Amino acid sequence: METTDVLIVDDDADLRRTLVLLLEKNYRVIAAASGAEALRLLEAGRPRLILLDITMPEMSGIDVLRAAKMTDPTLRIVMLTSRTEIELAKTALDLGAVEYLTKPFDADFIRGEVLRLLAPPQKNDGGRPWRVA
Amino acid sequence: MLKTLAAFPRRLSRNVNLAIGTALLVALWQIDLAASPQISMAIFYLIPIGYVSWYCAEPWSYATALLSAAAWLQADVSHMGDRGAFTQMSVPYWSAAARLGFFMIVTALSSMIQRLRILNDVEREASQLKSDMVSLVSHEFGNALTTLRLVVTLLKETAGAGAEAERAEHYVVLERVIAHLSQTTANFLNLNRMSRGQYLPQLRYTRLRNVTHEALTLLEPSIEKRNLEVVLDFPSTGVPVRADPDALSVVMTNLIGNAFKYTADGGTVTIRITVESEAKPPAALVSIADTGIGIAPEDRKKIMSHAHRASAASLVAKGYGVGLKVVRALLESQGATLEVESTVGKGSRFFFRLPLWIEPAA
Repeated sequence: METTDVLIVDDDADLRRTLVLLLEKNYRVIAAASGAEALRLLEAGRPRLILLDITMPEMSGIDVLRAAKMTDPTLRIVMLTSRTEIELAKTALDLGAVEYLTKPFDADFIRGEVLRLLAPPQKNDGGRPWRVA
Repeated sequence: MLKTLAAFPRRLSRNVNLAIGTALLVALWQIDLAASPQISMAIFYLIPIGYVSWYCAEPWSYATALLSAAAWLQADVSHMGDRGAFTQMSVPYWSAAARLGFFMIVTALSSMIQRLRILNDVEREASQLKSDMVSLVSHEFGNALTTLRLVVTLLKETAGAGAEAERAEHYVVLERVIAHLSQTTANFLNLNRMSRGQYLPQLRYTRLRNVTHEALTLLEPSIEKRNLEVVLDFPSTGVPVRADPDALSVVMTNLIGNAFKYTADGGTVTIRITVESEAKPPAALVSIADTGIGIAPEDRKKIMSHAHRASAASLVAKGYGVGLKVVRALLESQGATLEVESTVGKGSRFFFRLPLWIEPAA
């Protein structure tokens, strides 16, 4: 059972705090300052969405993604990064990240993305036997 | 394997390499003396010549070429008496002159390749540094710009009771992010200047306590509302040192800034200046200690390693910023050494010594 909506993982204290303030009006938000802390929080409960920074000391976002997906492949993880290398994005998506967002972004964008990613899956289309993804 | 073997002589001193080159030449000469003059040793003389031109400076390789031609000539001359060795007495001398020309051409080509190789290394290093800087800038600026944008939105949306207090907090964040961006930009420019060899320290009378106080004033916004205890343990009188005040200011801002950054709220940062008048030469010991996250031994090695290729990007990725690299380089340019002690989870202590200012004798 999901106890929180969004888990924010970023070692930049100001950015982390600001993201929390921005999203906590509409969602239940928790935050972690490091990969290790994030994995500890994941043991305690499953958030509906994880916003995960890539460039972090000790454990990079990619390492966290790999470890988190190993324990629960259904986790929905969004990578946040300033790095735009296509290989890195590909690695993240191959490892099962649902989205790869590059910084800098603004408030509307991140709210829109969180809203979209937390939206319930589309219903069947007009009683047809197929589903529009 | 072959690469390691080829790189090994680079670690030896020039004199040792010269000795090895000469030993090779002497050995060859002895073999040549023992062998019949009909057996050509031509190609083998290129071994000492090649060795010296690859691992020693250019003039030495020409000298080796000359010596090789002379050794060969001497070997030929010593065989002169052998029956049927040479049809004419002048042949060995003519051959020696021709070989010398050949050796010189090989030496010149080899030196040219060597110069190109060095140039290529410098280029590669510069381009690595550039790409490191680009990742650094995109990381630091990406985070800062995102925070600035989000905080501005929060400021706009703040309303109702308690809005004033909330806004005040947002302004603190804005100030802190802007201060951090300024610091990053300054570091970036300094590193760039140093990497292009344009930086020369101006060692002069510098008031250590003043520089430290200035750095603290600059960093004050970054610790607002963080409940950090900052302990200043300075001598009661001024501490004049021989240093470059601008460089020292960057050093202090970075070291104190790092201590603030990596210490959790409620922790302690101690800045201590101790005068060691008994030391030779008399010095001021500057130390910045924190109760922060500490640095693991392998990271400490990476930060403090003298390998000039230590990737700035990997340090950034590890969260230490390019600042420490700049600090180390700035201190070293003034003849000082940055040292660090650290225990993971307990904190770190960075320290260095600067020579006390001594009035020049009138």
